[in-house]
Amino acid sequence: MFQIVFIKQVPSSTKIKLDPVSHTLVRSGVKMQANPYDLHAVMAAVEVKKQLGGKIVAVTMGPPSADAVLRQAIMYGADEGILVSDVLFAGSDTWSTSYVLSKVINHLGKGDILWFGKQAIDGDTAQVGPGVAAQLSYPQLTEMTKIVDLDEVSITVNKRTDFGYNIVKVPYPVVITVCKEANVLRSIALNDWERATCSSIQMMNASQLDVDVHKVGLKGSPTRVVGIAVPSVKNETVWLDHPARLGQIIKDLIDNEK
Amino acid sequence: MKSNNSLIRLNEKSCTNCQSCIAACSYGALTFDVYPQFDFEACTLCNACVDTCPNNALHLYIPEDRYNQELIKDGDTIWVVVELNHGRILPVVFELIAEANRLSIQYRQPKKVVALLMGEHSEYLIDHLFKYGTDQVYYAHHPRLNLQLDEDYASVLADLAIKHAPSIILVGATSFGKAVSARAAALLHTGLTADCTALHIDPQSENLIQTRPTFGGNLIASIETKRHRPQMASVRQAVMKTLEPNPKAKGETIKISIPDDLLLSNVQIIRNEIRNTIFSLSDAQVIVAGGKGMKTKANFDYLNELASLLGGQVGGSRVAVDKGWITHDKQIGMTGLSVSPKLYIACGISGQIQHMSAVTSSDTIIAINNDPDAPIFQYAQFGILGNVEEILPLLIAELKMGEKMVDVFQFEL
Repeated sequence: MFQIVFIKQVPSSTKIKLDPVSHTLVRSGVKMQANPYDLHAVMAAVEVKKQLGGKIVAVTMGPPSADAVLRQAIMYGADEGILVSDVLFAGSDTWSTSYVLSKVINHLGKGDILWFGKQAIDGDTAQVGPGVAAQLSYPQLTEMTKIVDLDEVSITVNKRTDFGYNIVKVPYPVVITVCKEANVLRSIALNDWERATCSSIQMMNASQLDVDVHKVGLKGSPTRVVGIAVPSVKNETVWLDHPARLGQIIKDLIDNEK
Repeated sequence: MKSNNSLIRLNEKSCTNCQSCIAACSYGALTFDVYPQFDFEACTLCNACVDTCPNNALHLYIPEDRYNQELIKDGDTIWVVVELNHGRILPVVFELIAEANRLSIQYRQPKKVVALLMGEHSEYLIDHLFKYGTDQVYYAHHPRLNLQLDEDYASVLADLAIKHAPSIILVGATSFGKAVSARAAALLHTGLTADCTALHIDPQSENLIQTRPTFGGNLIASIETKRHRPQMASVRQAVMKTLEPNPKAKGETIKISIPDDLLLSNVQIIRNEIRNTIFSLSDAQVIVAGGKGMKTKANFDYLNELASLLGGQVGGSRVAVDKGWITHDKQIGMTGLSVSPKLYIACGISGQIQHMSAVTSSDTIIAINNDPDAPIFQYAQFGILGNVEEILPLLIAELKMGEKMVDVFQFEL
C-alpha cells in the first residue's frame, strides 16, 4: 500500500484575537501548526498500514518553514515528508493548489489512498481533496468517520452526510477526507519525536513537478480575494426587567405572524 | 522593497512613513523598519495595504500573463443545482433560486434562471421549481443519478456546463453540494467559493462578488472569479430568503438523457442511515437554544417545554454538545448547523462569533444571560439579565396563561 497524506500549515486558531481599536486580527507571535483534521488523516493512514503494510508519505505545500508540519506528521506515523515549495506558488487558490498536488502524485507514480483532512481550519473550504480527486480522475469519499473494512483491493468506510451516514465501498486508488471522529490522536513518545527531528525532508519545486506556471500562484488562480472586512455588528438591545414582559413580547411577535 | 520577486512593491519616494499599511494588515505580514517591510510567508496578497495607502505608494505587482488575458465570453444563464433528499427538494434549492432571481436583475441584460434537476422519475418536482422562480428546468435523467454519487453528479454538471456555458452555478453548501461543486470546479478549471453568505453583481465588471466568512467567522472575505467561467459558489443553507411561491408559474423543461459513459463512479453505497432531526432544526421557525449558562442537563427540560409551547425546536451551542446536554446533530454554529428562524431564543449562550455566524439571519433574537457584557447582546433585539433557571420557569408560566400557540409558524413548502 502506498498512501499519501496531505497536510496544511495553519495558524493555531485559538491565538487569533481581534484588536479592539483597529479591528484587525492580532497575529503577532502567532504559532503555526498542522491542520488538526490532517493529523486524523495521518492516523487513518497508520491504521491502514498496520493491516496492509507499505509506506506513508506526508506532503505539504507552503513556505520553507512548513517543514515543521511534515515533522509533526512523521511523529504521528508518516514515514517520510515532501515539501512542495516555490515562490511561483504564492497566492494559489484551491484550484491551483489541487493542480500542484495532483502533479505531486503524477511525479510519485500512483497512490493507493490519498488522505486529506475534512477541511482546513483557516479557510474552511473543503475543496482541495475533491479537487485533487477530479484532476487525477480518482473517486472521492468526503467526511469519513470510520474505516469499516479493508482489504488488498478496496476500502469500506462510514461517511457522514447531512442526513446521517452512508457506508460506502470503493476500490483503490481513492481520495478520502477525514473527520475528527474517525480516530483518536495517539500520544507521542520520545522516539517519535527523535525520528521526526532526524528525518530529512525532500523538497520539490515547480520545474521538478512539470507544473504549467500559468496555472499556479496568484496570477494563475481562477479566484481572487478582492476584499477583507471584519464583520460589523450594529444593534440596540431593548432591555427587559421581568420575564412576564418577555412573554408578552414573544406573544406579540407570534401574533404578528398570523 | 529590494527583491524583484516581491508581489507587493513600494515606491519609496511616495511613502510618507505614515504606517497606515501596517495597521491595515490582518495577517501581521507588515513591519516597520525605515520603510514598510513585507513578510511574504505571512502575506496572503489580500491587497488591504495597497487599498489603504493614502499616497498610492504600494502596488500589487502581477506579471503580464497572456493566458489570463483572454476573457471567456459570459453566458446568459444562472444555474441552480437541485439537491434531493429521498424525493424531496432541499429548502436551500428554493433559497438559491430566489437569490439567482435577485442576481439576474443586477445585470444590464438580465440572465435566465435555470434549475438543473438530476435523477429518474423526478418529473413531479419540476412544477415546484417553476413555482419558486425558475425560468427553465434542465432535467438530466438516468437511473444511476438517483444514487447521488459525487463523481456522477460532478461529471454531468461539468459536461452540461461546457455545452451550455452558464455565467454562474449556485450549489447549496451541504455536505453533498460542497463535494460535488469542488469536483466539478476542478473539472471545469474554474473558480469556486465555498460557504457564501452573500452574493452580488459588481455594477462595472458584472462579475459575481462572493462573500464568505473565513478564519472561523472572524473575517469576511469577498472573492471574485475574474476571467474563468462559470463562476461557481456554494451557499450556506438558511441564509438567503425564498420568494413567495407563485402557483401559476410555468416554464420550459429541457429533457437531457445522460449517456452511460458519463457515469463512471465506482463507489458502491452499501448502506444509508438517516437521522431526520437534522433538517427539522434547519427548517424550524422558532428555535430555543441553550449554552454554557444552562449549567445542567436537567435545565434543558425548560428549553424543551418552552419549545413545545411555541411550536419550535431545541438546539445547543458547542459547549452544550461537548457537555453532553444535547446531541451533536442539534449543534448550531460554524461547525454545526446554520439556522434562520423567525424567532431565536438564546438561553445562557455567550454569543461567540462561531455561534453567531450561524444565527444572524434570524428575524428576531432574544437573549437570556446573566452577563451584561456577553457578546450575544450585541446581536439580540431583546435582552433580559439573569440566570436561566430563574427566568425560564417564569417565562413558561407567563406563556401558559396565553392561548395555545402551536403550529402558528408552520408554513407549507
